[in-house]
Amino acid sequence: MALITISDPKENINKPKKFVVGIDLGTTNSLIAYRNKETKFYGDIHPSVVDISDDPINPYFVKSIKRLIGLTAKEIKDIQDNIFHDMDMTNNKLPLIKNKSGKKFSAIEVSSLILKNLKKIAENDEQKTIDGAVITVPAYFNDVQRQATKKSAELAGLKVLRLLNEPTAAAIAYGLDSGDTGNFIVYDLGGGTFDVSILNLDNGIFKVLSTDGDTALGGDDIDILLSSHLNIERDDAQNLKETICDTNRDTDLITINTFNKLINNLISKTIDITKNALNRSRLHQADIKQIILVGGSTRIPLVKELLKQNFTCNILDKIDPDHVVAEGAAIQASILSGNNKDDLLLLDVLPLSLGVETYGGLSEKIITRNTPIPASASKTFTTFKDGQTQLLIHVIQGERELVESCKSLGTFVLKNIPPMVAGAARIKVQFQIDVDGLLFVNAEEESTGVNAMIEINPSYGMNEDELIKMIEDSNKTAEIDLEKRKLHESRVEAERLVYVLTEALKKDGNELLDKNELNTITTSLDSLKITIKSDNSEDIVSATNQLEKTSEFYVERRMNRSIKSLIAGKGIDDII
Amino acid sequence: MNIKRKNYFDLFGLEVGIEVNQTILEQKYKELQKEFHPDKYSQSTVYERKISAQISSYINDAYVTLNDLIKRIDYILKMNNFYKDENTTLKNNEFLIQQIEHNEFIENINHKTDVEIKNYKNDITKEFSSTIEEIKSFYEDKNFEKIWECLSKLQFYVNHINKLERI
Repeated sequence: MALITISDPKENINKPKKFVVGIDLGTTNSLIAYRNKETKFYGDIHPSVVDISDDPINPYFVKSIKRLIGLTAKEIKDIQDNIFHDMDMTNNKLPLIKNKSGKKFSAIEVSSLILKNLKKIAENDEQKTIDGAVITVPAYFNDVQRQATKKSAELAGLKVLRLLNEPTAAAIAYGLDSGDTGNFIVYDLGGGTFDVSILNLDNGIFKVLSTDGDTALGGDDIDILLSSHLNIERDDAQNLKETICDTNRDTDLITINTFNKLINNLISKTIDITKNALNRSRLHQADIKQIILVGGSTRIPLVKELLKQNFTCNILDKIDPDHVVAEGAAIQASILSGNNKDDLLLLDVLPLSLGVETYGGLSEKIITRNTPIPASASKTFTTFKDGQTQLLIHVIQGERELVESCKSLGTFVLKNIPPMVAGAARIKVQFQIDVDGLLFVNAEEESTGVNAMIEINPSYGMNEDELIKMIEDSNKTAEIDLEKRKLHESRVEAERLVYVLTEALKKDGNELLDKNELNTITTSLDSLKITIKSDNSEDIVSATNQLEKTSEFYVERRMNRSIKSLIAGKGIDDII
Repeated sequence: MNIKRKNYFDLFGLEVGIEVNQTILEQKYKELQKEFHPDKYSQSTVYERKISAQISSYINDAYVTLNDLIKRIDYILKMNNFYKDENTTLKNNEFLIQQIEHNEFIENINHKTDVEIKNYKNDITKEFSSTIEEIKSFYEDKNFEKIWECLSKLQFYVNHINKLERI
């Protein structure tokens, strides 16, 4: 049993609720919401547009930054048309957007400005600091795009509770409201991305069976088609599209027929992707109860038309496609923070296979797509030259055979391999994917235990030091006092730990610990309680870590007990 | 990893076998994840979150393995210490000829009538099922070499059926 089970009805009676939000960070629009019995949206939808000028009289707006996040300069050149601004592409890993005075911004920074604005709106409304946020991402985002989104949230001063896949978020909001069970297709066509997930809903368990999509396909592409077809500005094209969607009639500029013909290929592509996802879920059309439509672009009449032609199941379009993702994120935030007692569990999957480069530029898959997460897998490598002391490992993501057709997540070098004859070293590389869908890699030479822990980081162009500097700089200019924030965060963490351990000890401290052990933990606990009152964040962090360390054996005993009660004849050592 | 001690079947309370009870597997999988998934520990200590992530990954891996026929049989072979080099392929001329014939059918599928395709699909499904039956009887005799041979055939049928469905 968890130290605190979230479903425990007696829990949190006297505990103040945390201010945790769900954020739908969209290509065109964004939303921020808080869930307490009901969902509260702060100021409805906000355009995902940022002014990066230094001059409020002559603003310089950046739109659709989500299309750029996590992409290299080369990838931007490959897929983009002229919708982006003046860019500095000299560093392939870190393409930069230039404003009129020549100041440069990375996609992470621009994205963080959107998040900062949302944060400010919600905090001003509640007159409280946000304690944490669940941020949604397209299900088909790769590791680099996820990492970059998380970093932009950190840069905005948000603690990320979870990166949540957009279709899954929609399913939570829908499933929790309706109490429906069965298999569902979530078809999510937004401003810049298309996602589809096949889910099974069963008494509060939301299990993703498969997911597929295209992170460069959305309403923006329709605007581009329309603007080049009619030779009009993109904003005008967007307005025209919206008029057609609202009325489903001919306009002065274009007939509905021509419009449908123009976008037919694009929408057909989403139908094919949906069919692929269904195939891989091992379900058939007859097993699907409903198709849930999410994202503003599902208002396009042709979307529903083609879905009806290709699928026999019902199409659900009664839910608000603009709000459902933020609502699901807010629900998940309230559950993860312990505010909410809904007995709900999300089981999501890895959207794209992970692998390593092998001889000849080929990809060898280590974890295949649609594997439930968290997940871990390992692979053993060896040296190919006598006396070789280093090994370079290139980690990639994607389905294609050739490495160059996959997304490079980064490389790492395992050093200090003891010199041996070729093929004698055994280097075990462990891949771990956490619940956010983020990858961690750990490598070890088995005979000597030489170890290297690597978080695949630099692939979006910045290393950790550069990022910390950026965070510090941004906080200097903004009104947020970094020291104040650190103190607030360290206190929240410390209080959480004090709370969980106090509750746990009440329940089974006497049963699982002898007098000495109990004494050790209580001493460390009391010391943290005193330190919390100080104004020194470093002291609080170190006292928190101390208590974490002291209580490890106790935590392990509790975990072991619950394993034994659920799995006959097994203990913790049999599993990890 | 001590595969015998960490038996995936035990985890779900299932008997070791070529076929598993899908309902129990699904139920027990959800029950276990409800207990050990990291989301259930989001407010807990760092250490407990770490352990829960490891346990949850293990449960996922076990579930994926047992939920897939090919992976499950492969796992049973490993449980019985039967390992083959990854690059070893089945050397069976009779089956090789069959494979060529099957591939030819797909190549010429545009010239086949709907009835022919339907009958062909039925035949393939039958061959697939009879291979599973063979594996079951070899399993009773603990003839792992033969199980391995059948597994190669099974893998071919799975890929072949997938190809057919995609057309």
